[in-house]
Amino acid sequence: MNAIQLQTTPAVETHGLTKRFGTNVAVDEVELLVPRGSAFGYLGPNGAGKTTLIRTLLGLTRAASGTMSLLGRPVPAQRRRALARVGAIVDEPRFHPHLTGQENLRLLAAARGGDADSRIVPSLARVGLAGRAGDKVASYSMGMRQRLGVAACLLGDPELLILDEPMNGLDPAGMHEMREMIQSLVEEGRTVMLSSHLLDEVERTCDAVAIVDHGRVIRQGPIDELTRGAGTVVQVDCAEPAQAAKLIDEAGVAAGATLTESGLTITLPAGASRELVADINRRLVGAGIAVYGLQEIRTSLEDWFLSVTSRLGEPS
Amino acid sequence: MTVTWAPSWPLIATKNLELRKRRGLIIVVALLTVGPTVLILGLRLIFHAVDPASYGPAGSPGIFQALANLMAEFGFLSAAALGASAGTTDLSEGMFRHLVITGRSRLALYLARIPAGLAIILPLVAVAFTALCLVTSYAGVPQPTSVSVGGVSVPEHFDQAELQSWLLQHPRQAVNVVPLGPGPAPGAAQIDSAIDQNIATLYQDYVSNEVGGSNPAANEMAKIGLWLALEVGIGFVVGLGLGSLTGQRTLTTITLIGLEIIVTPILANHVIPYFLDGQRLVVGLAMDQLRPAALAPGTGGGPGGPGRVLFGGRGALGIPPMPTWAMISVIVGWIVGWSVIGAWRMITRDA
Repeated sequence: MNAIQLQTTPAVETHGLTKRFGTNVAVDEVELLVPRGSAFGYLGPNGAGKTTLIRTLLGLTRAASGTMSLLGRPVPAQRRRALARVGAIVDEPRFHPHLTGQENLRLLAAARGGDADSRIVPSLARVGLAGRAGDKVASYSMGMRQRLGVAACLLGDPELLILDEPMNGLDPAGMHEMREMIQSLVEEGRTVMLSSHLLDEVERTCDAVAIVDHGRVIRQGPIDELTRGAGTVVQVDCAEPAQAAKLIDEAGVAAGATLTESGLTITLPAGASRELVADINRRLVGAGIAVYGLQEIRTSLEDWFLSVTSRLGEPS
Repeated sequence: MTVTWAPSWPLIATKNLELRKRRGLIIVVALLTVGPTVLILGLRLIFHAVDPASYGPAGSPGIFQALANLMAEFGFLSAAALGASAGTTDLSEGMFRHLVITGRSRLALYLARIPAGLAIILPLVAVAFTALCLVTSYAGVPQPTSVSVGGVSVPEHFDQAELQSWLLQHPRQAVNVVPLGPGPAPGAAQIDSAIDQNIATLYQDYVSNEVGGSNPAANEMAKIGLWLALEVGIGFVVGLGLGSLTGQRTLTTITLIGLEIIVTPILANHVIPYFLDGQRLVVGLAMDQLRPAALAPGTGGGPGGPGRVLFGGRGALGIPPMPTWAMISVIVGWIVGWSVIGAWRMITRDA
């Protein structure tokens, strides 16, 4: 594969990737495609196999079966060349506590070789640790260690960053900083793949996601496309909500109508146009029900995630 | 073609930095290797300077032997502790994962630890041993010019052939040394025959008295220094390999302390029926046999007598010595074997 072809390949690509621990299947035939130049969220509940997938991709543990490539290079066959342009934080970022932040980076730069040593100071400055670079890591807060982890990632001038739960342990200000840093890395043309169980954070940070549950990828794609397919909810403020719910159910125009404390909630079918909202309004008014307001509520990633994962539990 | 498994100089230097900055560990290692020598020699130098009538010179063959042997014991233990630390702390402190993610060959990461650690422990031992040699040579007891064998004064630094030749050329002195039966005055042929028959025992006495009464010669000191370096190097490599295998620093250190101060002395002094060859697989026994004569306790040899070993070693075993090839094989086997085991575990371990 030549250089141009390598540039056009996905940043991460897996086919049938499986990792087992005894009888437990932690990564189950995962098909994953992470486009270049995007912030990609690998989303799933705790224990879904997110970290195991990342560890497998990085060669920290061996896959049972399947194929994978990083930046167009097959792994593990070309692992060294692939990882030369990959930076990663796996689990909680830990370093030698008796060494300073800068000394820890020197250790990693020596392992990377090349120009990595010359990137230590700029990397520390970029993550805002220049002033504490000479302090022992034992005195660092969790947020500072996360930032040092990102600085370690930057030593190799990476095209791809893989961050495992980067928001873990951060306070709101730290999360904000991390979010901005990830966005700035993507703006530079780098690909950032991050795993998280924090749906809100992924929605704010990422362009595309893959949802994983029990080691298997359920859905993947751009967030807008995925949530659009999940349907829209309309909150109706009307005079007789029970009668209105019955009317809508009988008409069969909506996916469901339920009574809530705040009134009537109508779920529109996936892909429904906004004209349907006007139609519902006409039907209610036509039946003599006073309508005070209709509010279209966009489905959040969290709503969609819960609907997707709960659907899995239903008997087929 | 790039050699991916060879550790780079920066990798070795930074690993050395990582170990060197473990202040507690380095203090303990320094105290164990340099501490006893500096303390004992320092006190003896001071006492002798203050009250030479009551306290003899700081250095003596006996002090040299005791401190060098202590250095070997403590050097091995501190090297093993350092090796165990080098083999486990990347894992226990979460850095192993970062290092693997760099894409660097895991074998290179392992191999870098060997020179990095040896560059700490060997200079410490060298400092202590140099101090010991200097005090022994320049602040020691006056040196005899001859060795007493059976009450006869014989010149120093003979090997067995030279001793035999000297006795044959001095029959009047030899007659007092060799065992001759009762009867009339022995003839020259009878004396020569007695010398030939008893030369091994005579040489053993000669060596014992020479070692006990004289400082080691410069070349003997050099041999002892090399032997100490080998002992310490083995301690480090085994600690590193076992540490990488277990991933447990404390377990590794305790295991090697047990090996050095309990298992090895027992096996070196007691023949286990039908298990002698098994005993000889313990590296401490091979190193004991290689121990230079000036450090060998007592007569410089156990029941098996002086072993036919390399580099002037005369054996300190309490069991029959093993063949030279077996001794070398055991030593090389431990160094290579534990390196292979440690590297294999590092390569195959989940990070």
